[in-house]
Amino acid sequence: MNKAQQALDRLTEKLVEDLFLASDAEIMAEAREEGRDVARDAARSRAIFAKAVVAQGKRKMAAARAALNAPAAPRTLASRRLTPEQARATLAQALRAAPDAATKLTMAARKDQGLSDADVYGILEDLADLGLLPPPDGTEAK
Amino acid sequence: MTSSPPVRAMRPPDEIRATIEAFTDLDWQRVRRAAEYWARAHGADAEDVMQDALERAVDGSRQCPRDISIFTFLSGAMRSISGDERKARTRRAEIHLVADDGSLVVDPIDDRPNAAEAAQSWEAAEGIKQAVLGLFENDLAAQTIVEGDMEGIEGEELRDLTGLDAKAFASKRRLVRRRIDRAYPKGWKP
Repeated sequence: MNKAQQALDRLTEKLVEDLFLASDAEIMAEAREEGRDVARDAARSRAIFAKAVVAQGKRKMAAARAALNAPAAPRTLASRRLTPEQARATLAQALRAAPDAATKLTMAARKDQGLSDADVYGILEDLADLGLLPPPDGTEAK
Repeated sequence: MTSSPPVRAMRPPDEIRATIEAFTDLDWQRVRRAAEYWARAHGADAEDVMQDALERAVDGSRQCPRDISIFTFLSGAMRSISGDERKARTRRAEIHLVADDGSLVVDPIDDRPNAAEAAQSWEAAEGIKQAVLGLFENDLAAQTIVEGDMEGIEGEELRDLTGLDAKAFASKRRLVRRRIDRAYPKGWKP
């Protein structure tokens, strides 16, 4: 936009400001002078507003639907990167490091008896959520 | 020590919607006419501009500070929507070329007008500017208001330049608007 256009924009802004400052009686008088039908204009404007509200509602609904259909993000990816053997070793290490947490697990889980790989990964993810998983390099957390 | 600027309170979209729902016929007349001003200034359709602004108001994509009236807020939205539309209209198409080796070369969009276009556009706008000032040839106060508005001179400073008191200034401003309305019913066109 060049300087002359900017000047015209600034003038338009002031014209609009002055329009907003005009009293109802002045607005009505101007409308009459210009042959406007205030009631009909208002009805059209309300219809445009109703369309705007419907459009906004549709967008909101579409966003909600998209959120519902989106696959749930995996809770913890780190433990899934371990091999089943590494996962079992990590679980054992975690239970040794946090005996309090271990007491809350089932006997099978505490002794790693009869747990499927999926069970082991699941427990690791729960422990990770609780912040009880040791760092991946095997060092104990300080 | 630096202090962070105060947080500006915003109107929630539901409140904006309720305010608009309560508009009287004359409130709608104000909004409609503001849409016409902006649409004409930028060569857009007034009802499209109004609908877009209303959508942005109720969906919260454009925020309305509490210290600004809903009318001023809607006018700002309509100004930016109509301005964007003008920019989109003048945007050039992207050019795709195939090079000798068969690869695709994309000539990116260059929105900058060339020198001739820029001069022409400046000339047109400058011509309108002068013609608008010419509407008030024999009215120095009115001409000062128009010139001051174009230059961005605000409030008291502008009123001082006209030498008018507050009431006379407001009345002169009204005269300016009405004369421009009559001279440019279809917007800034030579």
